[in-house]
Amino acid sequence: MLVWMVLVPFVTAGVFGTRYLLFPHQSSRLIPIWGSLAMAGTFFCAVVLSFSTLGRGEVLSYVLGHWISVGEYTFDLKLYLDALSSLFVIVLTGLGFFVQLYAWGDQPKTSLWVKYLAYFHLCYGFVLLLLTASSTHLFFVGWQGVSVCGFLLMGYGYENHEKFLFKKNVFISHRLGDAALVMFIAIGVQVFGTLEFATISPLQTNGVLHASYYPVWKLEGLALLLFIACMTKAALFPLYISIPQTAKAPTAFFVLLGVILPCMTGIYAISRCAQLFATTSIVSHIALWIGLMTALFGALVAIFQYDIKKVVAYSVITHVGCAVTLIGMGSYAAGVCYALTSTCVHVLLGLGAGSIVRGVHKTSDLRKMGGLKTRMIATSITMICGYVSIIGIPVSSGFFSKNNAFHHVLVSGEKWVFILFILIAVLTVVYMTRLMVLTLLGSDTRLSLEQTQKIRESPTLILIPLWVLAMMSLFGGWLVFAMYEVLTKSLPQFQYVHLLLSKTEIQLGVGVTFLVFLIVAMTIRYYGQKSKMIEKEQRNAFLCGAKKHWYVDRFMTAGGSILMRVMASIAHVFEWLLSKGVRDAITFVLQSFGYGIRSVATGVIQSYIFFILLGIVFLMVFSLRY
Amino acid sequence: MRVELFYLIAILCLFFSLGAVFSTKVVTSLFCFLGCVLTVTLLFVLLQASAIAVIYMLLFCLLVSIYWVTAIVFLPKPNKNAYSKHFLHVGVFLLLGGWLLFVLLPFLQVPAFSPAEIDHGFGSARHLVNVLFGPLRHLWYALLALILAFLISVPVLIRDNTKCGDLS
Amino acid sequence: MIPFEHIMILSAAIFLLGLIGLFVRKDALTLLVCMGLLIMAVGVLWIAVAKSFGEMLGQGVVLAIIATAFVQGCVGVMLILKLQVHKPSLQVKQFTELKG
Repeated sequence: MLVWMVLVPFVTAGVFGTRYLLFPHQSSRLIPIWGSLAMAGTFFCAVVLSFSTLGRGEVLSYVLGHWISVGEYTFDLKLYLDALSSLFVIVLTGLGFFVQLYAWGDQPKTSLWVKYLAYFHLCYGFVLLLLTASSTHLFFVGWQGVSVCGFLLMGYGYENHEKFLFKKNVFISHRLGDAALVMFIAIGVQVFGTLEFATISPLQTNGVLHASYYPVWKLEGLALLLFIACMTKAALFPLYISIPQTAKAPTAFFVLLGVILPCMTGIYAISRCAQLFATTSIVSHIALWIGLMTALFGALVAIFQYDIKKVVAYSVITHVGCAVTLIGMGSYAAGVCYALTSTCVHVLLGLGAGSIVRGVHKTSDLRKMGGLKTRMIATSITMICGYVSIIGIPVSSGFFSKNNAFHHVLVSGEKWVFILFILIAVLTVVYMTRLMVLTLLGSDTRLSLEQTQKIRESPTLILIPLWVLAMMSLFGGWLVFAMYEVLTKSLPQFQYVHLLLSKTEIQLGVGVTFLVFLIVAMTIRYYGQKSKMIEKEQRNAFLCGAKKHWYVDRFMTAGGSILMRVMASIAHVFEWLLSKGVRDAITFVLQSFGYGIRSVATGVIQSYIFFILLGIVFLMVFSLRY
Repeated sequence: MRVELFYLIAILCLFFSLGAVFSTKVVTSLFCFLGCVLTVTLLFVLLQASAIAVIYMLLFCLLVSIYWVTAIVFLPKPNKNAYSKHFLHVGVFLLLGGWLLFVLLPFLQVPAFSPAEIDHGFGSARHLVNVLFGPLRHLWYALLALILAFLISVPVLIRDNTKCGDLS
Repeated sequence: MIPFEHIMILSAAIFLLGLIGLFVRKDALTLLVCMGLLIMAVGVLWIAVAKSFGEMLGQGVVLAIIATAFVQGCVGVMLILKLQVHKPSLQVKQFTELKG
């Protein structure tokens, strides 16, 4: 059943692709039905399989085939499902089903959509492969497949190949991650002798990594390489530009690429190798501070964005950064839990944003929206549920995961991290409230007249996932508890914190909630009053920097082009060296030898005989002496 | 007895090899090589390796003939006749020296030790008797024949025109 | 009995003469003759070994050596004949195509 679950998306993609190739100009109504059924099927399989993995703590594995078998080394292609990966798989399949429903509802009239749905399912299949891979090379297949599909999916709407430049940036940063991952795999084989995750970094239920057997610098190096690979996928500073770029794609793809993927691939990779990270101290610290910087940057930039989807994208970056901070501190379960919860809520927010964009007829600019709560009721309610969960108002699922995170940070004793965490939470509140106020709650003075007439609620197909996710985010606290319980058993913990009702926990919860309400009130007052606030924003020079994403992406592009030039010149030198340099060097050496040795070759037989005689004498003496 | 024979053969052999190596004319060199071969054959017989001696002599005489024919082929025209003449000479030499050995050798059964080999003093009459009639007589005869052939042939060669045999 | 050392000296002398001749002479045929001398000297020594130490191996080895020497001589003659096609001279110093 495991194999079917992983195979179904690939089959779907294949079917869609062939259909597109065979009938390139027909759009079909069957295709999305099939797609949704396929996704539902995989979700069903995931839930069934999780009964044995999560429920009874078993580990499922299925050998696809033998890859290499040399001497004492055998490398197999194996699918592997244990508690951690089944958790991720359930989240992925569930969210994927909702995204597919949204895509069904949001289907444009073009037939090109079929091709992109095929890419969508292909991407999904690759992520499933990545999550269920038992060894690093199969993991790498999934990883690369995800990069490729991201590249492919982004092309929607840019068929004339003019604006592909942003794809190049994304691709280059992804390639850097791939290179790091390849080195990780290679060095991992050299250090551990195997490609299996179960050996490199077993979960705590299945075994322990004896770190003292291996030299520390090797483990640190491995962890660093893996972390660099995650930096590109999970969009950590300074390589997080790929996520906001995905906001240009249609909503379904944006949600897949920009919201689900960073968590699924990046955070999964780190948590899979949690025991490896747990043995390192330097890389954990690096992870901690990079995560913090990512979160700070993301939050600071999100406050001043005018594009709805970009706000959501930067929110994703912020929360992934927080999760990585938690991981860097050593609270692996808390970090993973936080990441998974925030992914679910951000999918809600992303799909809701897409619904809003649809309703306001393809404008995603916040300056042109407002007061939609009366016009798009269902979307508003679901978005507000998501907002409540993200901010961390009590009893919502987001509250529990955030509180857990705060508790872990407090208990770890790092003062500055705690302060920054609070700051990030405050900023999250600010930008989320801003988003809500500007789109839903505020006045509708910024809407144009024709927009006012044409705004419609989104169709039911789009609303179903929104409703389900909203309910989950409001009342899904117990799911968070369950997740946390499972994770604490599997991942290494340095300080185990009981989630329920300890005294500090409650105190923390109450204090944070107070703060949250305060900030919400302040923000609503600030933004809700007059629309002149927007113009004030625009004039502020400080904010101009923030608007331009702190020039980070320009930096990255420039850095990327310099890197390209440097590498090109290195390659040029190498090429010269290999083609002419080495040849000339060898000829020079040989010629100079030749001039010396040339005198021996006289051409007269007798001299040759003489040398042979010398050789024989030497041999005789040599053999007689020894 | 045996020892004196050995010294004689040894000196002759050295003589011939010197001639083979240092003579200016190729013909003389080949000639002396032939002499070397024959003396060494006698030495083999003295050292009780008669079978080896026979094979040795046969093969090496054949070899020298091959060399000689090669020399004839490559000489400039005017000297060809001279070489052919000397080829006859060599043939005579072979007959006189080698043929004797070839015919006599099967009968040369040099015993390992014989009571008649007691040294009676070099030059004495008993010594001469032993040489002429003793168990090693055949060897002595062969040696004598060789020396005679050499003594006859070499002056003939030397008397010839110096151009003959010069392949330079 | 003939002392072994004396035969050894004789063999050495012939070998040395052959060697010197090999380096001194210019004619190809004489070179072949000198090589034959070398082999002859070695044969003498082996027969002496067979006689003095009672090892019959000596005579067997000499048999093999003689055969080899004969073949070597033939091959040498054949090489000279082939060389004559290019240059009608037996002087070894004239064949210096291998000079580097």
